[in-house]
Amino acid sequence: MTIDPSLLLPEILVTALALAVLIWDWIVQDKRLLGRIALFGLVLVSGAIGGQLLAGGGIGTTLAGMFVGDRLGLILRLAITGSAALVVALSLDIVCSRPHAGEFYALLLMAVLGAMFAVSAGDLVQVFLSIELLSLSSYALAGWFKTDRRSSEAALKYLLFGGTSSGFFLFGAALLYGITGSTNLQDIARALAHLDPRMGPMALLAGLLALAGLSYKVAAVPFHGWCPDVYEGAPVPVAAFLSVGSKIAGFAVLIRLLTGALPYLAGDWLVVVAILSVASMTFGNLAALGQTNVKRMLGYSSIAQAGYLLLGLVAAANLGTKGLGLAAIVFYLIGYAFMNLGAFAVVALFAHLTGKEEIRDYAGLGRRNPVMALFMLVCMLSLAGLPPLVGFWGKFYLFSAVVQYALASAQPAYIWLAVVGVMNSVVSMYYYMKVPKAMYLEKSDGAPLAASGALAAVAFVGAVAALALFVFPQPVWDLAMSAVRGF
Amino acid sequence: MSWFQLPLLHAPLGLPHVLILAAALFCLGLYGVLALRHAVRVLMSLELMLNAANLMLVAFANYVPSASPLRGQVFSLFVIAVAAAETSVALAIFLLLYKQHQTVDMEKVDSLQG
Repeated sequence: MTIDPSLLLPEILVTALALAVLIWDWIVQDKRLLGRIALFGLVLVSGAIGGQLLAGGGIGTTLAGMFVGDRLGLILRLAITGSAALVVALSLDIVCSRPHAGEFYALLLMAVLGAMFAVSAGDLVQVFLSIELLSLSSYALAGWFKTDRRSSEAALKYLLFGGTSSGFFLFGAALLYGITGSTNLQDIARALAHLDPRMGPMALLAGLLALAGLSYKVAAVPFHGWCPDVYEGAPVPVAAFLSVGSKIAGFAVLIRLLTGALPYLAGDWLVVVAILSVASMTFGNLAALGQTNVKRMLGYSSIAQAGYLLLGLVAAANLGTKGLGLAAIVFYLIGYAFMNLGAFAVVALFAHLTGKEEIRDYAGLGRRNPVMALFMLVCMLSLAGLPPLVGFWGKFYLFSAVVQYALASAQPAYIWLAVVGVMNSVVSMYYYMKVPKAMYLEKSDGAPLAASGALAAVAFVGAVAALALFVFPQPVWDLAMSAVRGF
Repeated sequence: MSWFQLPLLHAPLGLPHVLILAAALFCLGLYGVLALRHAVRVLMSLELMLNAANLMLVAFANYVPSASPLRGQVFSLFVIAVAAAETSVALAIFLLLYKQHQTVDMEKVDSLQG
């Protein structure tokens, strides 16, 4: 077995960074620099991945087929490290002043490492190990506010849900290994191509168990139960990372597993994914309507967003529209990372300065800090999918991919998926608008709130990127299309 | 035909027996996760689910001729290590939870709304 270190360069750098943070925490008394080291390192790693992407490097497989370096992996790893850098910037004020900041950043970097390995997994063993690395670090992060009752409860719920799902995934993976004789995703696809028809139902059961295990990672109904509780109870930066990093990793693994290893079962998993998608969209949006806590509302919103993203996988079931569907997922994930982190930055600022998280507490923010209120308005409008922002293109690409799928495979019933998606977007407008309504239309006599530089910068990046990606979607869309070519 | 005439009972011990055992263990674990309220018991049920899958991996590696035996065995070793790590994280969280809530009963831990 030969190891090609150039493919693993970003992972090696993140590992070194995590160890450096731990050692710094151990040796140096001044903890304020920890966050800045992690931020600087993550920007560096993002630059390294961007360089590989531009130079056309980092392509190939290594570690005996376990690790696949391709453009999809590079682009999504860049999205993960980039959003992790934003999360670290968002956490500087909140985390660095508390005890155990070193553990926080080390665990966060380990979670990033798990997400990066998951994105590039070419083997069921690596999928399992990397998802577990991501999950175990996230459980500990969710309980990081050690004196907060809600934080430890969030950790408990996340742990029990996550453990059950990894049991499902592992059982499915073991069945797939027994049926096909291999754990390599490509070998599995090859073995399933000429499978004894009597084994068909067994293979489908294995695929569905694995799908169930992964839908917890992307928070799709019916494996969504942890999502609102964890978002509400966990520290804001952790919830921000889970909403973006976990989702990117989960969808990358779903893409690799469903379209890479199980394309011959597409006719079967297609129906299940369509049902999961409609259930997630509808449940997430309806449940979000009645929420009063901003973080909990964003948790339900994250479930609904997973539903929209699953539409791309439906389109990927047909060879003709596969590229469109997968590229729409990649594009939406990138846009979602920006708009969601922008919203979380304002939530983090508000929670840090006032200690409050209810929507009604945001009353008068439009006067107390007009700039941050404007950023929040932009991110909420983008999450709702309104036209001058990236959320609109993201949903447009996803819905049109589904419509194209329905036309290409002569199954007009699937057009209804896009209709349900549009109707859900209208419903979601109501709860996304509750925050701007409180900020601008309701009065309060609170004093002005001053934003720190780092938090304002994250909100600025999120809001401006949401606007810029609407005006210039083409470069990112071309990037997404190039990522999924060859799938 | 009564149960002691089932052909499976008279066949030499093989893959079907192990698979039935694994499926039973998995269902037992799943039942425990869904039905129990004490967090430590739920953790034990989780371990049952993981070990059921482990048993299957080792059985497939041993009995299926077309399967590459090393992959299954190495996979199961990794699973054992991950399960141990998961248990240690879980016990730490339970300890933290007990300090905060004075209980690890899942029904009594309800500071989050909904």
